[in-house]
Amino acid sequence: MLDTIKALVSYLLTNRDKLFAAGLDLYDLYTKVQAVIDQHRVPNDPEWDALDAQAKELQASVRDTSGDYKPGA
Amino acid sequence: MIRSTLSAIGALFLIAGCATVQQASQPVDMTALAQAAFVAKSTYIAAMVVEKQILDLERCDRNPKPPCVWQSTVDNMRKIELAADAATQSAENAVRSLGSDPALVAVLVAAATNAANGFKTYTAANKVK
Repeated sequence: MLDTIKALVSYLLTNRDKLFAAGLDLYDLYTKVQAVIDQHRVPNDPEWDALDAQAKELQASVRDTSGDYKPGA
Repeated sequence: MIRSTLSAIGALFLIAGCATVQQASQPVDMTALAQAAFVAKSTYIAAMVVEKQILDLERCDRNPKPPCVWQSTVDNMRKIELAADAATQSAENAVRSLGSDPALVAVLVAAATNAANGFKTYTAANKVK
């Protein structure tokens, strides 16, 4: 699990400018994750709910097929 | 010879049984599982950000001038995203539910971690350079 966390942190720091440009504060996401790990505790409901809200917002965007190529269209 | 064969079979069952008892008696760290599920969901979200940037590209099928993305890549990426969503949501539901079977939670969290990492790898491989 530690490798997963390190990989995520590295990914976020490497792509920080691009990720900020995407309009989502992923540094906030990183700090939430790191806080839970550092404090050796279970994530609480507000933290989970915040992740769920971020996920829903992005899902609406990435599942939009209006820009897709449709043969014959 | 029959007696020695039966003894060998019996020994195998005994070893399997001991392994099962040992496995059942090993405590499951539910805090670590909850953290791992949280990390998996975060990884999934971070990968969606990259996916969004890829999806904003023109489709090569309409105009092959770079930067563009092929519709087939988009279709694959959406399938992987849906699978990662299902896996991370299952793990989240399991760790947030009181009374969940720890062994089942461990399996779901491992699946979520694999799915989220797979999604992250795919989007990283296809991201805008």
